[in-house]
Amino acid sequence: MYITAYSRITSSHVLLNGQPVQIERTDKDWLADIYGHLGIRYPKFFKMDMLCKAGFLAAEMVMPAIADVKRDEAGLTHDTAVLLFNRSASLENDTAYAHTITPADYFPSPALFVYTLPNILTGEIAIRHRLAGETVCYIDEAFHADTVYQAVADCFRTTPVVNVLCGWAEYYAGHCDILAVTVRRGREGLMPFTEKNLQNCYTNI
Amino acid sequence: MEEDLMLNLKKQIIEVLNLEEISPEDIADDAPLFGEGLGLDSIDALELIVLMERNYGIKLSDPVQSKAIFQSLKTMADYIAANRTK
Repeated sequence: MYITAYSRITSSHVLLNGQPVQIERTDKDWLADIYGHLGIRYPKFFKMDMLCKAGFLAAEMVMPAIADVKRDEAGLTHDTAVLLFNRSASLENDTAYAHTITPADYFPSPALFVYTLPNILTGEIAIRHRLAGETVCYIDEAFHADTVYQAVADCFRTTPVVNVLCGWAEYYAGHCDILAVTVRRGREGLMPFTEKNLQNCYTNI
Repeated sequence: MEEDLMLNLKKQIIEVLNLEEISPEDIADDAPLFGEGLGLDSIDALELIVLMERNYGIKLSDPVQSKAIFQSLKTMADYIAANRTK
């Protein structure tokens, strides 16, 4: 198993494969500026909650690493799984939704409601990149490289996938902490997929 | 008066549906809201129903009627002008 690409997005930094990415600030929010920098054209991005936006952008940066994946006639690939972890689930958006259902101002927002689950993030990534493999969002107290490593290793051992997009996708109360890592079965890539290397991808900013 | 309503409605739709890359001038009065045109989806439709109730006091419950109302910006504005309670 080898790491083929990794990206980090925090509330103040963006890195791709360990190298800082300079983001030109505008009057838009931080994630919208990253979106603009990456030159993405995907209007649905603006409908996403902040967790999905942040995870989506980090995934967008590493996905070229799986560009050669096999796809069926419909453009879908079954060769890539998405295994993400976070701490606060979808609490940022849950809170926003809760504000739309107060007794004094009861207008439940359908657009917020659809993001009241953290695994919507993995679904958004799968839709964007036409991924039909396993998608999971686990909840953990903090980023633990050993836990992520084990989940990825289990996925490679028990399914025929060639790539796994894994990492940590946390967004709550304006605090953004994202790590997206593409891991490939085999011996080609940036570095071996080990707990230590995965920890370094997260820690070295 | 109706022009004011149309402009306000366009601004409200852009805000509530997070259509960041669209300005009021980009929304043609007669263009379809769904499918071609603005390309809105089913969640957007639900959000428009909430907008009608919250901003104009109009409660929609008949799906067939809603389809006709949401054909275009103009059909929506016409319905609001005739039925608004606030």
